[in-house]
Amino acid sequence: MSKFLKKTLTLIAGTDDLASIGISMPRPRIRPRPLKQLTERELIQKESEIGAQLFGIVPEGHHRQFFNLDRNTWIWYEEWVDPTTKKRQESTIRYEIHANGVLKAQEGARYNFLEGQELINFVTAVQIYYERVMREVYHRDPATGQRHPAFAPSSAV
Amino acid sequence: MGNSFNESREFVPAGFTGLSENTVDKEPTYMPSYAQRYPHAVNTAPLAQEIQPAPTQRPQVEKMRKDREIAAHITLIGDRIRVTREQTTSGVAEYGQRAA
Repeated sequence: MSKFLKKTLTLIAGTDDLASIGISMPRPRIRPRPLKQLTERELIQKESEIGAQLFGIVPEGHHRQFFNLDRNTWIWYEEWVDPTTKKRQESTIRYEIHANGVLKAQEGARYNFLEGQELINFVTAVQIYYERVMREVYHRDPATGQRHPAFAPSSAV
Repeated sequence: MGNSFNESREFVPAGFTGLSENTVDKEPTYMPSYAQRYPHAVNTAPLAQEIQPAPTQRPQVEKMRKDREIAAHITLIGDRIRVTREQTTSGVAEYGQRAA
């Protein structure tokens, strides 16, 4: 119902509480939007929700994001409140994929190429991220990139 | 020790300095072409090191090869995600989200 109609009824009835005098305001109909297009940012956000789960349980009070930003960039972001100082802390790590390795860039101009167990962990996380994102967000077969009935949403996403 | 020049102002590569001309006379047949270019620098040990990588360098080469493979693999994944996103946002894929 339009604001104009509601205001008119309020003026006629002399009260804002239309329900108390038996006038019910119809609720606006929410039309389902089954094929609403998501923006790239919204898609990344959905991917990030999966990415945050890849490294175990996120500690209480922490907020974590891990997502693929573009072809050659992956982001780890975490924020939390320091229990002693009660100040909000945050950390952002950027992983840049170069031809000769994975460069880890942190605050304070700290750069180093991943190696050893850290590199293995990162590759594993990326692989799982891809598999889960393709299935759960895009409903595609990770191996072929094609839509697959087995990964189709049952009802709502 | 870096490269340098001998008394005759001839270039002498690093690791080959300090040898007398007599060294050439004593080993005239050893690596003749190299000896002609660097007559004051005939010494088998440093030359062998320069031509053939030391065994300790091979794991590093192998590591670099693996790192390149890993980087290519992750780039491929990133590219697939990018393409999928583009198809989704452009409506090629029938990705849907139902309103609550």
